[in-house]
Amino acid sequence: MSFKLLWVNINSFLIVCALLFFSGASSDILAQSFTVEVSSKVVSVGEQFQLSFVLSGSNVGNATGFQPPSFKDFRANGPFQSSSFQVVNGRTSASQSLVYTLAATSKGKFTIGSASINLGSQTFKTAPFTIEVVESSNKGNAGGNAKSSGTTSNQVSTSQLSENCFIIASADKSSALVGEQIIVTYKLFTRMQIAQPQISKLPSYKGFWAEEISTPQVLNLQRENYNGKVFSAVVLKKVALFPSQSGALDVTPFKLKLKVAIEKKRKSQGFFDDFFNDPFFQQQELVEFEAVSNTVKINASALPDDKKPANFTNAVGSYKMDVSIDKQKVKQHDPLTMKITISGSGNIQLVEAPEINLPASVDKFDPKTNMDINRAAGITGKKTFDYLLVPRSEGKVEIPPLKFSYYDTKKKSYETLTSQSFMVEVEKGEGQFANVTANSGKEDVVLLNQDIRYIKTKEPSLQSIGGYSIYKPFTWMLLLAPVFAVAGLLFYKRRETLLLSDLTSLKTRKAEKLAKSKLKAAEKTLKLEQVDQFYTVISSSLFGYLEDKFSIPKAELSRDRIFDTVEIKTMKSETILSLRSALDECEFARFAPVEDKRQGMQGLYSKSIKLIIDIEAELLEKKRGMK
Amino acid sequence: MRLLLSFLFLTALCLAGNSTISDGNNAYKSGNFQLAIEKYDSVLASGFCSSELYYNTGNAYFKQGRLGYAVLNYERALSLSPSDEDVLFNLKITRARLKDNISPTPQFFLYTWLNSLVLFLSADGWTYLLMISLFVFAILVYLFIYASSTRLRKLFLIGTVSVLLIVISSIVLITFRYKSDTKKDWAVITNLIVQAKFAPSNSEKDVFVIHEGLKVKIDEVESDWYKIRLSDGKVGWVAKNCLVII
Repeated sequence: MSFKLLWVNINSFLIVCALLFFSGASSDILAQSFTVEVSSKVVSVGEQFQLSFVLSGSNVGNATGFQPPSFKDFRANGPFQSSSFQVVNGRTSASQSLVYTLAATSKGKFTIGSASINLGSQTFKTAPFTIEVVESSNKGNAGGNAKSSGTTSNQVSTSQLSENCFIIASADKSSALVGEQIIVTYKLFTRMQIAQPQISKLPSYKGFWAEEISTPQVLNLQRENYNGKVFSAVVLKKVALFPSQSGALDVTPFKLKLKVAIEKKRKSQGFFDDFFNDPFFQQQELVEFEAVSNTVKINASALPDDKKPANFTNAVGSYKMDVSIDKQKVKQHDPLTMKITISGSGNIQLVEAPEINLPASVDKFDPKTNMDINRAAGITGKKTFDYLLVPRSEGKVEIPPLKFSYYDTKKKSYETLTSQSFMVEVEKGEGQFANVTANSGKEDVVLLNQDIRYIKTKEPSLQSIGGYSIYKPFTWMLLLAPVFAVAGLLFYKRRETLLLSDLTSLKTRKAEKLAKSKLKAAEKTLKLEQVDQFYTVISSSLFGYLEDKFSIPKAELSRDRIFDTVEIKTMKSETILSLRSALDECEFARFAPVEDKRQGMQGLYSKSIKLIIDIEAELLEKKRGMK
Repeated sequence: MRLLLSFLFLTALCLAGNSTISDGNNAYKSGNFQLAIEKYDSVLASGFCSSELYYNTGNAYFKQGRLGYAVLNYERALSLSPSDEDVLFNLKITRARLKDNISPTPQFFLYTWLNSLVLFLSADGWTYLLMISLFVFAILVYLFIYASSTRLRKLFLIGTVSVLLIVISSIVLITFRYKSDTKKDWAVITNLIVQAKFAPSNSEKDVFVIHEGLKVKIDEVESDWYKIRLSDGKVGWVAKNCLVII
């Protein structure tokens, strides 16, 4: 088994080898090329640079008759020859280079003509190109060989640094309409060696709607002429801005923190120092520096109001619209898709779907929106809207033309695109419900396949329409019965507790009644204001009461006898005191003047009543205590 | 005596209604849904209703494909027994087949919660709850008063207070439920397609188009027009004959 497999593999390997051989042979002739390469297109006067003519392909060794262009404006050395040979994936390729070292003698723009070479029967020619020569500056000859650049003194001022390393922010237009695309480029120019660039502050695009344009990830320094000096330049950032409001708008500076290499120059002190001052030995110092770009000022003006179409929705740029439907003929309740594609350049993100005026019998669902943006050079792209349409009634349905309006920045006017109209033939759908799947969620689809539950065959309890049980008196009876029961219960309980707890107060009431009955005669005389009689009566009433209470025989009755009784002696001192004073008062009244007696009457009466109640209460308490 | 007579009369009517309903059920079984609807309707016309009757009527309408009336009858059945599972299920099935799938605007959660509580039982249901809780309350009060130990007294006091809370809340809920039942401000669209207008006139512009079976709220009435509000908040005027009040 494994042997057989190996055999097959060897077989196929041979076939592949053969194929490679033939294809390689055939492509050899086509791959020949003769090109010119230059190390830098911008140079300063006197600076050396390389120019190489490269012949590549196979059998480059057979080339003859090389004709170099004239280098009349340059000092030229060469040509030096070099060749290379390589095999990649079994394919051989070789190249031969003829290299000249040139140096410009004066400033200006010079064209280097074409060189030619013969290979077999063919003659190859290079394209002519121009080289820009600028005046060499006194600060070294700048650029690629950064070691030779730098400052002449040990002190490096920031202004000197910023003269040699800066960021230029440039906009492709300084005034624009709202929604018009402006491309702002941030370019770093440097004449020094730089390291560790770090963005310290990104610009803020207030009043704009910004979209980044893709720039190469690796910063590749290119030589460029700026104000007559050679700089290494690189595009840091490119951004497409769309003003969202009118007025003077600013883009804040871009700030880049980087380290600049500066040479330390020593004083020349003889041969050794001269030797060590050679760039090879020179010491470098890294200085931190922040390169700051200029502020970009843009004057945004509002879109013209006249001739503004009613359906204009902020689309600015240049656009195309394409509308299509996927079917011309559908069944009732079956969905069809209408696709609207708007493509072009401009503020494509802000493009809204054109309004569709569908007949009432067609249901429209929210569109699926898709956006495809190309950020290579400015913002271009396309936006698609997929509408799901579901015709509900059969017959012919016309989808009216769609209108999309935008402001054309090139023509400087509003443009309205109009699509064609569509006729859709709707056939009668099958079944009652074979339809609404389009607008239903997943759960609803499951429900669509289910039937309703069966009717209830149990005999229902019918009630009269609008008849609430709250209207029936029976309900109220049932509702109120427990309420009354609770009320009755509470009332009964309250009475019972009253009777239980207030037995003592009942006794007091009895004692009061007793006292009043005993002093009835006294009350009479009090009302009639019979002063002398009152005191006699009250005295005899009190004695009578005490005689009854403590069962003292009438013959023994006297003040001393009363206070000698055991019951009185054991009473509270207050009670004894008030009894004593009441009896005293009665006694003294006999000798007191009439006017004094009159005043003391009421007081004595109520005092006597209280006295009797107190005695009764104390006796009752004593009785309980004995129990 | 008069009371007894009227009671007997009502019972007789009820019995007649029940036999008509079973006629309708037989018609439904044999697939004659139109006849079933007629039978059920005659019972309703005689002034009687029940949740089951509305449910069966809704089923018969559903089988005929008249979803608007099916929804209407299910909604009526729900107003009598709001938590009937069969009714809720069939209403869900019917709703899935409606053309309008309007998602309601979200409401404050407390409001929806209270609303569902009010709808949990019918007005009668809440009345019965009140009745039962009052009886329990009375019993607990008695037990509390005559409890032998303080521990039992405490227990019964807690019981009494909680039942009292139930009593109070069921009184509140009866009022709410009764109000929402008698308000009659919900309706179901019964016409296949209805164009809602800006103002109560046929010559006005259309605001939106709705289809049968949609439950709408009635905000205002003007001669032959209703001002309706959809569950997503849209408002328009439709003719009175396009919808039936639940």
